[in-house]
Amino acid sequence: MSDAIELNPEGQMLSEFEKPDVSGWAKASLIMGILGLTALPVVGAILAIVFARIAKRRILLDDALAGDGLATAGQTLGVIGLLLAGLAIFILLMQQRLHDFIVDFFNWDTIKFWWPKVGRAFLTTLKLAVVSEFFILLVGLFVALLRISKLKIFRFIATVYIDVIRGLPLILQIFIIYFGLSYLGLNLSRFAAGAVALTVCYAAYEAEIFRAGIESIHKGQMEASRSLGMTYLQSMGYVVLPQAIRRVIPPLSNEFIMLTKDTALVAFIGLSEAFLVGKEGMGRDANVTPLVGVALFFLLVTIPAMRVVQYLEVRLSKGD
Amino acid sequence: MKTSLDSGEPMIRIVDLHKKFGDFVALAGIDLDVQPKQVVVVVGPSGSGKSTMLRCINGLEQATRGNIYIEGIDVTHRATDINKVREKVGMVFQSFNLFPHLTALRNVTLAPIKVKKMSQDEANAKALVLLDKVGLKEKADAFPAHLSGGQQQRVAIARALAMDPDVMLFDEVTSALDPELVSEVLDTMKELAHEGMTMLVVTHEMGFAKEVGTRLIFMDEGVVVEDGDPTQIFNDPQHPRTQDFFSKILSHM
Repeated sequence: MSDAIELNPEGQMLSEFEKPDVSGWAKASLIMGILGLTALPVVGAILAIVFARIAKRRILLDDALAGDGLATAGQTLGVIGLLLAGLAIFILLMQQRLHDFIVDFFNWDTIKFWWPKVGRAFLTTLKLAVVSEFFILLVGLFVALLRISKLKIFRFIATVYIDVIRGLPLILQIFIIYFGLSYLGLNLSRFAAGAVALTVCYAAYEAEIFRAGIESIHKGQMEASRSLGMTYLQSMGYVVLPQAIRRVIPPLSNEFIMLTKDTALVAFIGLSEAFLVGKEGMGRDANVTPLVGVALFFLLVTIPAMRVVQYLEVRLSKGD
Repeated sequence: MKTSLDSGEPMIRIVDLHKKFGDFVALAGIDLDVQPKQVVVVVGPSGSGKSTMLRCINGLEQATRGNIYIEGIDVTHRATDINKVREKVGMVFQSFNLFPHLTALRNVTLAPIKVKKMSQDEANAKALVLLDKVGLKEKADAFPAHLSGGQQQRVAIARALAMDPDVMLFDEVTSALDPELVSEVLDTMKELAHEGMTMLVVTHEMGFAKEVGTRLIFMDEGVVVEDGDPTQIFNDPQHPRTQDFFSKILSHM
């Protein structure tokens, strides 16, 4: 019934018959867009964009004209056609260079031979990172406790250690510790020496993170715990640290990602981890492909790890 | 130690207690004996040293000079195991200081298990009795963040009681509470007083002081200015500073 009522007024009836014309320019633009992708590259694409502009202006000025959607479609096809044409021209002109690039960075033969080796070496990298992190957490926490100790001498020792380590490049420390250890008569394996070097270095940074975490816990927690008769260490262990560690999990995880990357520096004392093996492959094959493999293995681990840290940051901040 | 109490020795004896923070004199010579079962209400303007005195008693602050004896043991002596003394002195804080990562029950059982080496089961059973006493048995598994201020403070009282203290120190325990939550905490303290607990209560709750206090101490500028029966001091303060203080706070009541 409502249809009948709406059809009655004259204006409505008229508009039914006076359907606006679709702009010819818009149709032409669409046709040119299609041609631009097929038979008439570049020229067709340019014409499609030009026609679409004309069509759009006309449609804007004239209420009786339609076809805005068609013009947009033609315009889009034109732009895609131009980009594809540009890419084709680029490939054509740079053919030799691209070929060289693929041969140097993604050489299939090198991939087949070296990437499995790099992958196995990357397991050493991960093992070094995990083993080091274990000792870093222990030493870092211990140094943090020294750093906030009531005894001046402990605070002094911790402060000197943290300052010296944080004031030196990691690569320098790795060399000094490696040669220093053998000078002391400790003939550690390269893996162990690397783990010691990374622990000594990273523990200083993580000690500061632990300290900040512990100091962020209100001192009333320690007082309440002590007033119940618990010792300082009991109060630390059961009351302060459980809260502090929760807060420092995200920054500590970030440190762990950095540590994983920095294990590559242990290559300089000759441990066959991913970077060293990749470098060796690069030398043997005069080709960058092995190092690209190393990069991909690192990203495979670090990118998901960064997402996890982000998730933890959100989760743990909600918990407070 | 109990035997020494029977012989009339005070539960707490404070002798010539001084405490300085840098140049600031917080306590300028306190002498005070607290007998078993006394409920001593400590009042005074802010900065008068009330809280500092409480904190010196259980060793949270170190005395600059003077001695504090708890059941005959000198807290200020270097050889004293302060942790042993603290087992006998419970403290409740203005800011509750519950352990936020533990449930109400675990808050109460932590110290008995770790300090008194009580078994988990025994500690749990005892904690439930204490939580029931403060009216929060059904909140045993709740974390502090899910409890109201008054409930948190009552858990804090249960936590202190779990160590079977001989003395309880209350440091402005209702000052951080919304007004409607004050009475539930005061009621718990009242009950404790009726059971014969020796209590030292720093508070601004004059109603509580009058009703529950067996003794009132007025402190100002680090010394005890007036000491006596609460009702008597309220009605007839002797010292000008006490008169001044009461005239100010009573005008609000």
